[in-house]
Amino acid sequence: MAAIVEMHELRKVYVRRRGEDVVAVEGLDLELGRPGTVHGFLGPNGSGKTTTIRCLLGLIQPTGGQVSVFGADSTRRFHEVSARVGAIVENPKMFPNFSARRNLALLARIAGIGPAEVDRVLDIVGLRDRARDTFASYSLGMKQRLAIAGALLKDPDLLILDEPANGLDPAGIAEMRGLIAQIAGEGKAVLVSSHQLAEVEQVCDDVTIISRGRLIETGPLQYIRGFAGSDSVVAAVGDRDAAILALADAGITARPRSVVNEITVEIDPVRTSDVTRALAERGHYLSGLRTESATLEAAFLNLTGEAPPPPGPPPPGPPPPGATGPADPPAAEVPGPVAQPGGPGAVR
Amino acid sequence: MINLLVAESTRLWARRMTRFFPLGLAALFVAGIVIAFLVISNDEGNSPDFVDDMAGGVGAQDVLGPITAVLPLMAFVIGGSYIGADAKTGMLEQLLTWEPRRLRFLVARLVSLVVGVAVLAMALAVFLVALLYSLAASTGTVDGVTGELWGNIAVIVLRTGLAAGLFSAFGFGVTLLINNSVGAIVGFVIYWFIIENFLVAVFLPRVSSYLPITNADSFASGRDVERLEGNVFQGEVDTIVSHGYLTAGVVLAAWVALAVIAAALVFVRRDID
Repeated sequence: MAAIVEMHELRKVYVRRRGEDVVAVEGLDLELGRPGTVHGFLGPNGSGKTTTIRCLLGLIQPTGGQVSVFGADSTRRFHEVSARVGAIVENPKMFPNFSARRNLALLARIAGIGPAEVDRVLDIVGLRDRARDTFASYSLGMKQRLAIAGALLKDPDLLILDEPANGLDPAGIAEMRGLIAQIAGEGKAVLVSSHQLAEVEQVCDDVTIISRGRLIETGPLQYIRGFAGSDSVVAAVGDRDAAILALADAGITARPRSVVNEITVEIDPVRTSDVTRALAERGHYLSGLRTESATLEAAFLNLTGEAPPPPGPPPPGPPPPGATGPADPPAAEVPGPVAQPGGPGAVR
Repeated sequence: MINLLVAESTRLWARRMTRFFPLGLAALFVAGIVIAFLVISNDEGNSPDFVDDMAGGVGAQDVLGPITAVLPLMAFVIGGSYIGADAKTGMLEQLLTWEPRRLRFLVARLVSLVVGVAVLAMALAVFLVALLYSLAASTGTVDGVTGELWGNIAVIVLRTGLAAGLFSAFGFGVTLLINNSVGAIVGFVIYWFIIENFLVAVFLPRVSSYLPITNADSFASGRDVERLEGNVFQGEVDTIVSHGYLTAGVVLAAWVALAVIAAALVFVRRDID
């Protein structure tokens, strides 16, 4: 089945009056979106996700290359397919002093959609009881839900959500996840741009990772997850940098995690005692220790080069049809494959 | 297109700026009339004559002067903020995912703006006339009011609306062009008081009679556009008529067209982010 969004050599350079021009997207070749699936569009902050989305919505003009949605060139003919595309870009955007219902009614009016649809989407996002309240009075989670309601007004075949979990509390994130799954369950294609990997992992079927405007890897979730290597050990320590050095001294590779006092130790969990011994012998005592399964986050960190890359075999070839992960998972302490941004075999 | 126009009009009238700016002006008019009423009540020798004020000694164009003087500011602020506020909040981006044809979007927004501001300005003008009539009726006389007088007033009110509508489009265009509503409005006020009313009027008098605010005021009020002639610094200055109010309307329309076309050319290619 053909992908809904196709990009060929997409490039976007922001010309700055002062300082160097900024290359936001560089030569993206991508196919995204299948009906009834959720596609995670991942990348670190500033990697070009939102710029790419704006290009495909016709909001910004690519410097080079093409992008099409449902076969229509986004730059010139997006209006032909805009009724089939619902989108939230970056933040929920509505008129602050309008009530939820009035905001939706206004959008519905633009597209010639009947008022009954407003109630339908309010029900979907669970805001009917608060429909009379102004957008400004909503919590961030409610704003996100209302923005989704707006995007759903057109009953779109493609729903684009840019960072939908931004600023949400855990309950809100879980709610958003359920909503996304529900929408995909109705046969719509959902494109979710995010850096909240744990959330994406729970809801996505396919994943694309970009970094510094370049494609790093794309494929089914299981395939991408294979880049995480094997299960690893997470240790909580007092002095993270000193602990990493101590482990290196013992021949064990470790890297810092986003949590302040945690490190990921690249070692088979059955050898956890080696970690405790190596640290204790060098005067470092653990405040916590657990094993961690190979995750999308680990794959993401490996692929984007956000974490120090451990040595490993060369990256695998492209995924075979129906791939569910690398054919030959690497050994426990050799957690490749590692593709570096801009490195050979990594950027398409 | 009709749906888009209705949506844009809904948006325009829902804006606080659209409602409160004219309400503020209306309140100022009321305050002025109340003060006039108190002054007249304490001065038996001074009683207003509606006909005299409107058509005789002062003339309707001067009595409606308060309206025409603040028109450019009101129209520019409403027009500029109409596009500027949505660009700032990101709502413009949202709207363009619903109507990606930018020229179509721009036309709908401009039409709703021009019509809306014209209606507002006419309503304010009518309100001021009603206040003046009430003042004359309560403290002076309204004898001799004729259909011809009301006809003359109606023409001025209509031109006032048209000038305001056009000037709102000017503000809209300038703000869209520079992509900064606060900068546009502050710049406009500085331009109005310092550049057009002083610097150009004194140093480039021939140019001054073709500037937008001067011509908007002239077209609305029906006064001729005048300019200085002679050497200001040697005190040898005369005021001469440059052109009439109809020509002023054409000059104003040209300024508006220039601003709107330039803004549209930039807007259709601009990155919305």
